[in-house]
Amino acid sequence: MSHARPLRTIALTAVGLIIWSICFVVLYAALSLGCAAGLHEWSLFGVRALNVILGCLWLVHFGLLGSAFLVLWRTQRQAQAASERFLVRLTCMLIVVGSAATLWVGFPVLLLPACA
Amino acid sequence: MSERRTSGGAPPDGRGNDGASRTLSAVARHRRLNRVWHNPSGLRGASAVNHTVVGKRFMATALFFFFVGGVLAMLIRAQLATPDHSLFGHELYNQFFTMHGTVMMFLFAIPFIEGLAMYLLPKMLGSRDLAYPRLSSFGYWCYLFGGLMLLASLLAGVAPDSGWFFYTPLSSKHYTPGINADFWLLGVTFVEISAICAAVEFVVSILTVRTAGMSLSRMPLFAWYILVTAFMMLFGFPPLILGSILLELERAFDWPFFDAARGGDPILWQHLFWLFGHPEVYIIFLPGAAIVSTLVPVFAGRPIVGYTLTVASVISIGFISFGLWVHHMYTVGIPHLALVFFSAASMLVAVPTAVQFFVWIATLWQGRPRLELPMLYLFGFLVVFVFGGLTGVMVALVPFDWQVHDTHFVVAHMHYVLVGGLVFPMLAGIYYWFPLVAGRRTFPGLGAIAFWLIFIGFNVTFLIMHFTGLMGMPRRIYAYPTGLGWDVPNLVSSIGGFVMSMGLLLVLIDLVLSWSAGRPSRRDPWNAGTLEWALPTPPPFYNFASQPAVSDRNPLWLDSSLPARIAAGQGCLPGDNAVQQETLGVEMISGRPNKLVVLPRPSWLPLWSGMAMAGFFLLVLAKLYWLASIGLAAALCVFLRWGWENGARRDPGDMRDGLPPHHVADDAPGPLGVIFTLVADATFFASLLFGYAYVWLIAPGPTPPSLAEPNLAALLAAGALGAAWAAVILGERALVATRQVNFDLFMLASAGAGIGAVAATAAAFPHMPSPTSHAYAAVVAMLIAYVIFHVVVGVVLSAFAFARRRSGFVSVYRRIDVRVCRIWWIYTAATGLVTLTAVFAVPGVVPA
Repeated sequence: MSHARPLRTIALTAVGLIIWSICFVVLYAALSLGCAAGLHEWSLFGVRALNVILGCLWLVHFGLLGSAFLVLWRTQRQAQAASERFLVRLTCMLIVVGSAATLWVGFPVLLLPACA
Repeated sequence: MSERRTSGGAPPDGRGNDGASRTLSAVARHRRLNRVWHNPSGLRGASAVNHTVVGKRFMATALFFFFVGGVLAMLIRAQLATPDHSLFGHELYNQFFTMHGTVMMFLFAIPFIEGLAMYLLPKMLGSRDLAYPRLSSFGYWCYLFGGLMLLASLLAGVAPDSGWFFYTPLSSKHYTPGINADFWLLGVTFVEISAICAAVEFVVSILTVRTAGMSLSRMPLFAWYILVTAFMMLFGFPPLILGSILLELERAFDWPFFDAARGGDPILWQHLFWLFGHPEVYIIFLPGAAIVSTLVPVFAGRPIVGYTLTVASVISIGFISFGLWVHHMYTVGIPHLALVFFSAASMLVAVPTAVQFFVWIATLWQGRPRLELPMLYLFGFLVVFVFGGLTGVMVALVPFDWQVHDTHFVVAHMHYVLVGGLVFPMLAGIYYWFPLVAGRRTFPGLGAIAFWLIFIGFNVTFLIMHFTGLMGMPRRIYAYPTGLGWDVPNLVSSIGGFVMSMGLLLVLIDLVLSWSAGRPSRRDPWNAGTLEWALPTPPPFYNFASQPAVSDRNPLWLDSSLPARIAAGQGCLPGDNAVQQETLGVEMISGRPNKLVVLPRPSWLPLWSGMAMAGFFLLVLAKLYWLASIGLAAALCVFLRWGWENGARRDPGDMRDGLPPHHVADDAPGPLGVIFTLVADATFFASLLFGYAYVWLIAPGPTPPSLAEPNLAALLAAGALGAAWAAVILGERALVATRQVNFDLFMLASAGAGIGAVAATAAAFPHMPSPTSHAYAAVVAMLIAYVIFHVVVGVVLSAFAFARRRSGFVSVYRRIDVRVCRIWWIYTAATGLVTLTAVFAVPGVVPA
């Protein structure tokens, strides 16, 4: 067996936190670039455009987390060995952590003005 | 090197031995293995690469630097003990506090952790050595020479003096014109090479070099912590290495990365530094927590409660700690919403940290705790670190941080976290593993007195320092006037500091006395369950006479006869017929043996390469750049020689009955090490792209000049990179199809395409302004240099693979060189194409 498969399995254990990391970087980068481009001065239906964009980006990551959980749910029955079941449990825990972290870090985009 | 398939004719799982080899007595087996694993002594000992030797060297050197850092701390406290005190002037004081932070963070904390992990990991994982012993040794020499470079600057009175996080513009040429800052930038970068080497070593060793049956779910928690720490090092240190290179380029050649007047930004340095600096705190804490999670079950007399939960919390800390870097930059003027992201992440990281505390408390609650000396230090850790964690949550809150930023409150908080998170667990670990390392017990009374001196002294020093900070005393001032209410707290802090120092001195005396006159220790004096205690004390260089097959996380608790059975050769690879150093390699997840990792004998190559690198850094420091390039070329020659020694010139014979040697295994450690090195490299590249985007879009100052219009040369460069990539892949296919002439041609083609890519990249910027004119021009020049450097290395690797095939080292079975070459070219082509797109295509779409 080459490195690729076990390495991918081990890396995907942290998929929940990887998605959180991407969400964190995307939100911070979009905020910085949006402020630099002056997007905070635009509004959509009375709501600041940049906040809407950030909110949408935030929600996309919940979609990714949900998808990761569904994939895990479908594949967990194939786990036979104790080490594989351990990785499934670990992956599940880390998806829960990633979801909570994404919720906690991102919800201020709904409350605060973007570039103040 | 090895053409043998296996040692002693081991069956496919590497277990057991044939009847003939079992006839050896334990003593005869020990003698045989000792001969094979012999390490030279005296001056020739510098060639030793064994993990036990190198690990001890790391720890001893780190403790020496701990002493140096401690002396500097006492000088600082002596200066601040009374108002208007002038033991020394501000210039010397600036050097002392800068070097105190630098020595403690870069020359003590991380290297000690590296040494401890190097020493313990193979013993805990049931293996005989790490995956790359020579790499560990090379890392040690980089650390030693880099550390000596920094120490020499202190002795010469030209030590760095801009604070340990080295903010620009204070550290820029204009405000720090001397050589002081260059010592820091070059010395720290040199030492960081060592950390990257160690991180690659740990990741690959933990994933692939364990004993039979040790699946990921049975791995000691210590290994999980070190695995996560090593990944954090791979992602955390490259931004600092990049920042140091950029700042040195600015100082040496006036490339204005951080000069706001020419389109740069000092805040960029802060981003790069803290991208490293905050994870660094957890890189230091997690190994401390690893010690706690190892010792608590032993002294509670039961397995840890919540193994999987602990692993999940450690991984969570590893990720979330990278989302905190801006919490050191709350006062620089960042939008409130961004501050909230980082404030939220800063509070969030307390949750998985707290989970571990509850795990430890639950383990103690469920067990029958014994209050032995290491446990005393662990209680010190629990108290001190919880306090540091709580003040950490306080400074995570933006309004509070604005009040205490750059005051002694932050100094106190940082010391509670770092001393609590590392020094107390480290001392617990030293007392716990001392019988294993030295074969003797320490004097418990002396250790207990030392603990109380350290614990009381530490709290007297730093608890009151919180109030000194709240009363407004800024950090880094070399004197203060009386009448501000700071006199008494500073005096108390200084007294506490000296009490703590006496405690640490007592620990040193205890260890020195015990090493020579301590009571001999029996094997496993604490009734521990992990494999290192199955070894004789002190352990032999080969660790295990035979590698045990494990079926539990605490094998010694499951089977108390295990040490005797290991010595009797009843495990895997009994080594009765051993003629070379070898250890089991396993599948990453299941722990099933699938190869024999053949390990190198003592070698001078790590020392020569370390010396060549030292020559390079010293010549750069002396600004003799052409001579420095000779140092770099010398290092390259040694590395090529090093690579040439690997592998075998013949394919192994029939492998039906045994495990293949690693150089014919599909998952050999070599390519895996290259992959993880490139992970660090990719982080460096991503940080550079971040710098590019920052200078282009965010930095204040003049608008970036238009540098590059898409042109034919850029297209040719992209095409040449793709061609080099394709040629290597086709070359490997030709090799598999046993068309060796075609392989040779494809390797030469990839080298030729690489040379073409360099020429085309250079021609793609016909009107490139000087990198000194604008930060954007400088960062683009840096990107181009990055790509060209990687292409040149790729050309060397292609030529190397060609030469190795011609010399018989490469065959259809032995393809490590080709796989390394392929991985490198894929990475180089990908980063080259990203760079060309970023520089030529994106500016046309997104205006600055």
